[in-house]
Amino acid sequence: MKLKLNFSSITIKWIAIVILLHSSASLLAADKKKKWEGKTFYGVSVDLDLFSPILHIFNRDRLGFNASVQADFFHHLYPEIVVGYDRFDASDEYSYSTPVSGNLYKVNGLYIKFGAAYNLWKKNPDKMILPNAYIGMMYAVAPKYSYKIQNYPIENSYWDKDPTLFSAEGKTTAHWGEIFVGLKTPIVGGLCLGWEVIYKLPLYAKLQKEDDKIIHQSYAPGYGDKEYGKWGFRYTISYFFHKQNNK
Amino acid sequence: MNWKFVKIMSEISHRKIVLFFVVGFSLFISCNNEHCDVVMNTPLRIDLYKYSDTTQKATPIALLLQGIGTDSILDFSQKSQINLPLNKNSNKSEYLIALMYNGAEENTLTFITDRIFVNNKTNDTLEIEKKVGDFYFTNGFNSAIYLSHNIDSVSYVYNTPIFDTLSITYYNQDEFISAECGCLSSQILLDVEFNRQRIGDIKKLHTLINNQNNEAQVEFFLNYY
Repeated sequence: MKLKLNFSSITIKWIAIVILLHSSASLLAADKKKKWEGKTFYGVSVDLDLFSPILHIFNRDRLGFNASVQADFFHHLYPEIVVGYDRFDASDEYSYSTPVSGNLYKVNGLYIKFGAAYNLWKKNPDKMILPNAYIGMMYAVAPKYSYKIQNYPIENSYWDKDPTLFSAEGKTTAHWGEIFVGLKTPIVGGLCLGWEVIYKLPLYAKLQKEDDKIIHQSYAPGYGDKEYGKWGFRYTISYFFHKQNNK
Repeated sequence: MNWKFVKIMSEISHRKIVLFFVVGFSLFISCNNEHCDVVMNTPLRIDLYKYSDTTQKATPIALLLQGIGTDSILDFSQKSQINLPLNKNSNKSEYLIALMYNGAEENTLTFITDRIFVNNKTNDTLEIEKKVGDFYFTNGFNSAIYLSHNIDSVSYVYNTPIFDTLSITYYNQDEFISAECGCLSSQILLDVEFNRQRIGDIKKLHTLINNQNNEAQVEFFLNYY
């Protein structure tokens, strides 16, 4: 992710999204305008993403886990925290020239996301647990994740038969925003299944400078590939903890 | 707003959700374009101008450079811009330079075989070591002669070019671009000079040599042009 993005275009995008969300909320069913007769707080859902671990079966270069805790307020608003871990091995992606044996680019670390979802589906105040269709936004950060770069050739063929090899390792930080839509439905009791489609907007990636080396990161845990990781997906299994069972 | 579609998706069939999952999943694992779209070369770009009219570009009759310590000769004859590869393992690159111009010293030679000729001025018998364009080398770079035109089937007029050494000093800065592209080396230009001041004048325009700047960093104003 580039250090300095077209910040004005990202600001415009976020403003447009906020306006869109506000407009969507204002077009909801008429019962929204009535006074809410249900509870303030219904319970807490703990979600586990199944998509990332299963993806590892088909793509051994990527391993990830994430889980989230989500609270249910008024069956309308669902503040959420997501914590996850990702590991990428992008060594095989080098395509500019003939790779040197032993070239390596790995990234791994934790990430955390804060945000909230808004339930667009009809709300029944008498039921403890409901299916919901939602839209939401998150702020995400991968703080001080590790990278290791080893034996990448720097072309110098006019002067030297053997290329100069570049290596570096250290820690860096990335920030991004997310917009997501999803569905979640109870299956049995408090057990739920759901899915989300996520669109990511890069905000900031710290440009690393070591001695005379500059490092632009291709990956960030939680975000993925800086060029092709804008879209994400979660398929979750979760349990909704609440005081009473559904009627 | 009709929520029937949403209701069906959420309540009736998780098989549809699984199908969506499989389709979406296959898209996520297949959409990975491992391709480098970035320019990875960082040559020193030099524009050539006439010393007699500094607003006019010069296209030398013949211009050769050879990096000192290399065997490869770079031919920039008939070109108004030259792109020099700098040594990424050093803070200095030096080139031998040979420049042809109208009015250069003229002599004749006679070929005995394809590779052996007699210098009609000195009566020396010489063997051709290497040919680059119309330049013939008999003993290293500084022995180059430029074959101008033939007198008959075995006799030729040749010119002796100007020789000099070009020295370029700089700092290297290595940069990891991406997983697909790997690394390149940019330079901060410090100095450019001709050791014997025979080729012409030099003007530095920019100090940064990287893959994002297509403009020339240096200008040469060529003597005899």
